[in-house]
Amino acid sequence: MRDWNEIIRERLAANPRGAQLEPEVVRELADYLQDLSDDRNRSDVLTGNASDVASAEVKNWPRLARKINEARGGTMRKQRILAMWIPGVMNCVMAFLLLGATQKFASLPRIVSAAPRISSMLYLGWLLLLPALGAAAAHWSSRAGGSLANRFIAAILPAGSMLSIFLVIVSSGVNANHGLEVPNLFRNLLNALIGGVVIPSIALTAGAVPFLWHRPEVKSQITNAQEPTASSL
Amino acid sequence: MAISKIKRGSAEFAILCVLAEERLHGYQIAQRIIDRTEGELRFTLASLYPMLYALEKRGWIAGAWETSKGGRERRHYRLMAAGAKQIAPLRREWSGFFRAIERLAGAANA
Repeated sequence: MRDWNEIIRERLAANPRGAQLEPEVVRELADYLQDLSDDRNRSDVLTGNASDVASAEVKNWPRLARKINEARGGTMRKQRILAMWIPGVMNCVMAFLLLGATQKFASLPRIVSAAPRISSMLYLGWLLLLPALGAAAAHWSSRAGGSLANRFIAAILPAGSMLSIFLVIVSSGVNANHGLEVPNLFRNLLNALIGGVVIPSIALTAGAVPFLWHRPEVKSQITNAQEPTASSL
Repeated sequence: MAISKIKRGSAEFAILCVLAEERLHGYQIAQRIIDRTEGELRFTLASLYPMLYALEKRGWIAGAWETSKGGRERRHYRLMAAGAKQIAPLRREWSGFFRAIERLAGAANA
């Protein structure tokens, strides 16, 4: 199976002064080349190698990249904001609000041991709500036309935020200790990482799964390709 | 040169017309246009995508990642209200243009 993404990136990289394309655009162009190649294979049309197919469709890749970037302006950025960042940030806000509410009003955290000497402090009530938050974020992203990556990131952004906080705390703690050895440091860090990042990630992802794989079906047919002729636009 | 300018001008109209029927991704748009014009209009990747993105930026069409019938995720485009409003005036304009050309060609052959 040809990696069309890689072929496109190689073509763009061949000219260092050429403009680059965002990954999502590269993916879309790669999908086009994939569909073209598949159609020609089905029609038993001689496809040549991947380089021939790409060259027939695009004579000047850097020029194409510049034209696409000019044409798009802020379109993709806006799409990513609507389909990933807004649902993701709202998900984060809700997750932290619920965590605060759980800490204030609900029962004490439970200590859960997965293995000897590996135990994490968990707010079970909060954890049980996380799948709903992951589902809501993924669904919101899906409705906004987000790609699979957009939906996934929107769903697990709270866990990503916790990871960032965790790394800041760890690096601050290391600096404060000035390199002094702290007993059981690694185990404590691992326990905090599992309870604060890994398990919430799993919970968020579990809720998002139905919306990661289920997309609105678009009924259409791909007709067979014909040989390109000189009347191309 | 004049012929390619005419074809470029008609390309946007062609894209709007096929998207008025249903949502399609880029390759399907190109194939649908080939089929409907019996090969008179053909897009390459290099000519299609700058045009699609330009139309999207204008708000005439909108793209979103969706699963197609083959089970693959593709970025599909749909016609927006602003784009739909363009079709009738463009159709009138092109019809008038071709009638004028036919009259000219008829007069030249007379």
